[in-house]
Amino acid sequence: MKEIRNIFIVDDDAMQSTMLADHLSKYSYLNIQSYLSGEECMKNLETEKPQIVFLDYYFDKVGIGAMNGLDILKAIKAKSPATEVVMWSGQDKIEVAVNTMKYGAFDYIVKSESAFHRSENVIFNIIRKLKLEYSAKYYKRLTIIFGVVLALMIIAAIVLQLMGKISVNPGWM
Amino acid sequence: MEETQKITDLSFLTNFAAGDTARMKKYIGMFLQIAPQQMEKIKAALAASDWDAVRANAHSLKPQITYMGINGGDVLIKKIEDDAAARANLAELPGIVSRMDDLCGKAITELELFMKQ
Repeated sequence: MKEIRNIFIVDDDAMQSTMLADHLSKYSYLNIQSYLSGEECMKNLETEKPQIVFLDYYFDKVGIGAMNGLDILKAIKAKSPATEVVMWSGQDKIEVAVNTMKYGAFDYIVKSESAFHRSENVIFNIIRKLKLEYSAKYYKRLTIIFGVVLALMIIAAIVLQLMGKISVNPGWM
Repeated sequence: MEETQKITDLSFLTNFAAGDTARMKKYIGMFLQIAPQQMEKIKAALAASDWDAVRANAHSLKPQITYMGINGGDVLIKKIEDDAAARANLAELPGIVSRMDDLCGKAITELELFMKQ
């Protein structure tokens, strides 16, 4: 869990965001910021660099013309592709969930009694994904280094052979 | 007898707040502030036949009804949201909103008693 530091909760419902923030606050090293609108979230995205954003789908309370969840999701992914967005909504229609996943949401949680527990599981899944990505990058780098070393050894052997310093025929044959 | 007539069930909230009454009161206090306003907005939107506003306000109230364990409230509020969104069963909507309003009023009375404890 300690791989994750900054979390945003973006929800126009103060009670929802307070409950989620309180639930996650048991992990004292998490820095949780709550915003009531997508506009506020976007203003602070570059400075705070959150690793995870819990994002509501509807922002009806913010007013007409306010960014909705899908707009905010697209804006976050355009500005900070590494930030994982978890949709956090009372909207339980499957097509809405599928649509947000299409635009890069990591997961979709329907606000319900089990939502708070699920939010923790999603954080653990994101950590698992980050670790896998780190391992994949590490092994890719290792493979490249091994390949380069092997190529250098082959070139050195050919050069030494051409110079007559080594023989193809081992001494015992 | 009084216990069986209760329409709110705070078992989720008790569990969520790990039995911390002060924390429970914090959330109930927020609900007591928000719910009457939301219900008024739903009724005003209904009177104005503004179905999008009915849907939006019902949607906003829906999870809170669940967290307060208002018996039957979750079904009613979801029906209000879905019917307003689909512009379906509009003739029935005033009756459903009225039932939801009554239920909410009773729940608020119960929760206010809890706050005084």
